[in-house]
Amino acid sequence: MIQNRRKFLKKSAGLIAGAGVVSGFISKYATGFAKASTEKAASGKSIRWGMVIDMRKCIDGCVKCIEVCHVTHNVPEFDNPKDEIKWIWKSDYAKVFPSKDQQFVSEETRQKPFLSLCNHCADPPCVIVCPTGATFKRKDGIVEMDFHRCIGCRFCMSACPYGSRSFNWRDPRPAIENITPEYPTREKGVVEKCNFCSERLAKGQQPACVEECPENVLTFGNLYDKNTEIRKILKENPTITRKPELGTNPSVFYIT
Amino acid sequence: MIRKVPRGSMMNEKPLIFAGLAVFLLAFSYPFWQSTEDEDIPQIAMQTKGEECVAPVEYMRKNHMKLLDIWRDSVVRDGDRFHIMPDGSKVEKSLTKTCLDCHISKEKFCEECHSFASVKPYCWECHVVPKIGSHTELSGIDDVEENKQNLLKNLLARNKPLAESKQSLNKGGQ
Repeated sequence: MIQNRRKFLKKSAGLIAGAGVVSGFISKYATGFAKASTEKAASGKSIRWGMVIDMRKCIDGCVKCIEVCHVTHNVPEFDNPKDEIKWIWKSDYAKVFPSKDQQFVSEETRQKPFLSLCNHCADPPCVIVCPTGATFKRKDGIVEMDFHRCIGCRFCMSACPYGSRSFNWRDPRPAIENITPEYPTREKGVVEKCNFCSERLAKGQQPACVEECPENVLTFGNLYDKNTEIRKILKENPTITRKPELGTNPSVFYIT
Repeated sequence: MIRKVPRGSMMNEKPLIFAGLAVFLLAFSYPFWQSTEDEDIPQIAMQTKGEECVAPVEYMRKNHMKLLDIWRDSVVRDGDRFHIMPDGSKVEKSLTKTCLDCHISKEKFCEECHSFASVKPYCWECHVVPKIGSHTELSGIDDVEENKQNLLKNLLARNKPLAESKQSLNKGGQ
């Protein structure tokens, strides 16, 4: 076949144009698919655990949920606030909801210590950054940590927009007064956070904080099941989530 | 300056080289051909409560570490927490709650062999060694109430004075 310069250029231009069209089509299809997998996951999966925190009922100064959580999961108590490990804690309104979408919030709400914990986001940034797969999203929506695989790089801590993760700067064992033997402790150099009591869910129990709360502030349930208490509450009350502008889609909702 | 070695001298060193080689080979292969007396190997303390192990004994002797690895991944990553026993009953996939509930002494069941084989697994950096006895007598379980009381005090002290710490709030993160 006679191949001159003109023919060669024509052919290669056609080839490049064709490749461009195909790759564009592929990437469009791929992103469409990815979107579907995060948003329409409800159809394929049957469980997404979530929580509603009714701050109207939460009593100032009551820390029963924090106490029971930290005992159940052997969370150490360090004297130095820099070493603090927390799974669930109370924080100022301004810290929990720093977004500017809430205007003219009542003084009462503003003064109230708000309960904070891992949001178990539907699109968790911590999972994306974890280099070892130690943090991962379970099929039931829980963002779980595999402490065995954590190398302590703390990428997840910088990725989490809610400060839900703590790092063990020191050996936690000596800082646990009495160890609950059913749950392991952690090692120095490992990150930890709330696990929505996945070990209790496996036995058919509610999370410890939900069970312990005397005022029924916390409601836990399956967000994908329309007949659950949590969906009823979400239907009947206006709720807010933390930093919605980030698109993490938290599974923890607040009634203020 | 390069020193020239006379050609014939290599021949004189031959027996020496082979003798050295023989000594080296003997020393190197010693662990392979020396007979191990049975009493040298630690006998696993079979101070068990149950009748049957989660898998055949021969398999467990060789592969217990593999089984524990599989258990770990299936519990943590797949949330599959139960092991079906050969007789059909269910047990938790747990070193502390299942293995050491039956083989009640960690010192005798785990450590004797591991120190003999110079294996140092790091299970116990995090997992809590159960006290010898049943689940209800696990270490520290009696003190849970007392523990709760102490923790309550600390937490109250930490979480209550939010108003006082208002000034410092602006500095902190989340």
